[in-house]
Amino acid sequence: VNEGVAMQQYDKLKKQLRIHDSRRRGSDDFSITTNSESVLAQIPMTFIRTVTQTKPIAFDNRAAYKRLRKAFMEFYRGLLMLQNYKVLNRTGFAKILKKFDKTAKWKASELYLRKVDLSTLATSTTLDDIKGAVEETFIAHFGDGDRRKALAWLRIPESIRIVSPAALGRFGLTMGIALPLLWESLIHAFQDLPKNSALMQVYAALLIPILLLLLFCLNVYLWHIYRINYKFIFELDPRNHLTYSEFLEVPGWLFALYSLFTYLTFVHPFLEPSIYPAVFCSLVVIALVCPFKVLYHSARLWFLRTLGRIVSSGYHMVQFRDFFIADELSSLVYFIVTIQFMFCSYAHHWDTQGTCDYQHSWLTPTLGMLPALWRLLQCIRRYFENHLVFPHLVNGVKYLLTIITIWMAAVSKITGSDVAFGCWIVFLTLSTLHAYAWDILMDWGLLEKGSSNLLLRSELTYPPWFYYFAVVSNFVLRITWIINMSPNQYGLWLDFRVVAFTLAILEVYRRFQWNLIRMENEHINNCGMFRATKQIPLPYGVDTDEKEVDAGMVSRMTYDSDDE
Amino acid sequence: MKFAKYLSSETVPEWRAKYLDYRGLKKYLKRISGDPTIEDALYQHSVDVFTRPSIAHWSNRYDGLSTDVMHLNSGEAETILGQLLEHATRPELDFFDKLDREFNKTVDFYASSLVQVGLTGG
Repeated sequence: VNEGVAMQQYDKLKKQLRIHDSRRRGSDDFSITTNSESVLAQIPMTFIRTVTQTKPIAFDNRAAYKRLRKAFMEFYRGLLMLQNYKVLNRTGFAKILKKFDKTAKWKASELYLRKVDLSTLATSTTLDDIKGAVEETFIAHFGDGDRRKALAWLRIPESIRIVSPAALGRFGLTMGIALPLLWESLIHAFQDLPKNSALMQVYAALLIPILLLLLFCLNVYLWHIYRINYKFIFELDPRNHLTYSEFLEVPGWLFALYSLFTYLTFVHPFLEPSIYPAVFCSLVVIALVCPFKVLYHSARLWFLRTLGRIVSSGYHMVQFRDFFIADELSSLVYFIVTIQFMFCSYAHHWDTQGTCDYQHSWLTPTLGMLPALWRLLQCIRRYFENHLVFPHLVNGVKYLLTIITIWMAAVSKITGSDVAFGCWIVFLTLSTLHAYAWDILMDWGLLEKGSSNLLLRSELTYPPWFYYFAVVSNFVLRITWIINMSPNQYGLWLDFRVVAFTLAILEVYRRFQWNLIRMENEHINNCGMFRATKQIPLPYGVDTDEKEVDAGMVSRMTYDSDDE
Repeated sequence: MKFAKYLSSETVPEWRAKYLDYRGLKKYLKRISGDPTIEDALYQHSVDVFTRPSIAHWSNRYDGLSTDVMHLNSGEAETILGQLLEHATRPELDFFDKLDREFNKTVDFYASSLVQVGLTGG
């Protein structure tokens, strides 16, 4: 078969798929094709029927090749799941009938199983045929000529499901190193308080993202335990992602490194103590962007890519991971703002009395509003995708209120104006109420009408008390700003830095709780639609108007002959 | 591992409601064994005690001759099962009602999934 035939068949394929080369700017615009589900579900099937030659097809662009390969892999995963469904149910019927025979003391199992075995559930050979056809086609056109490699790509590795005891052990080890070091450092740090306060503030800020990560791991663990398919929702590669035990290592090592550096700073400073936070940050950044295939390379890449997508919010179709991680970032405002203090301190050689007062700097609201701004841009982008005022613009208002509140706070603190203070309180209240209502109604899907669980929703994954607890505690945690507002004339509240740090920790906890139910709600929505495989957008525009299939379609196999 | 546990660990989470409800079926079995005595139950549910042995008779016939069962088509299997169930107790009938519901559910879902991925029908 020569090149010409290959091209011909490829053109035919594109015609079959009703696709035409209309590459648009920015890869994400291709996602518009996801609406035409019926077309996309059949891509691999159409491919198999159309491309009859076994010589690898000459794809006209790399993106087409990659997307089609992805479509095949996802399709194959769907087939595996269906096969697994079939086998599990057949086994279930056999087991329960055996139990019936034993209990009722007469034998019905064989008769009933005969019925099961003659139903589509067991007789249909379609699935195996298709699996074979997909494998062969995949090997021929996407395997780079390597059969074993191609099959390895298709299959889901067993290791992805296994909890790694070694990783858990390493987590234990890191914690064992970290906690005593941190304890010792804290004792020393507090002994020389005024001198250390600036450094302690920096370290306090650095602790927040580590805590968030640690709690996020706990999120992942609980999702895993409650069989909430976060991997699918985050669109993680089903064949290559971290298990929760591996993921746990990330905050584990970070925390160990962090504790080591607090120790070096406060207990045994071989060098100028103030140098250590910078070294720590540099190490973390280097580890994160390290281009070599070490330290969970693909996971780091996923994270960096997500960060990139968030920073450039508005330019992309918004995926779940974009707004979910952006929401995580909005719980890190304290960290973001205090990092500014760290840079300022370095600029002024840690001669910090008054020079780096971030409470009265215009840079603080500018940095502090960034996560909310990104979320706002995402909401606007989604509005432009589908022109739904609700939920997208209403959600956007929430972030707009947050941004206004942040600026009002700054104006009030810097100018000392009473009007600004009043506005601040008003916007803060509005923003809090809006955000809280959104949490309960939209993000968590609670207060469902006609729910069988009072004030919650009918489908619940966690124990009901947890939802009630979350509804109440989320409100309390959302209004903790009251502590910041309250008059301090009795010295009731400690140093504002301690208060700010405590509030930051509470916010991280609130986020943990929010994550749990937010993800669960998303999962329940997926369950409602039995959606377990994703649609792979093509690098072409798809013509959805025409649904007729070319008459001269080449068919290598017929697949509708399975019914007796 | 207990099968119920295995089943819940292996299910595709999004399809959970579409698998056979193994735990639910086990509850129905409990009701069968929870009957004070089968005889009592038979009396309560006005099933003739003396026809009861015919279940044993019929089922034993197929017990020893599993090759026979293998030659039945699904209609025949269902008919025989139906005949046997005429002599069954209420909890037993409830169990088979539930089992039928679970069976239809799984077959329907499987068939519609095949159509959805474009394997049949469409």
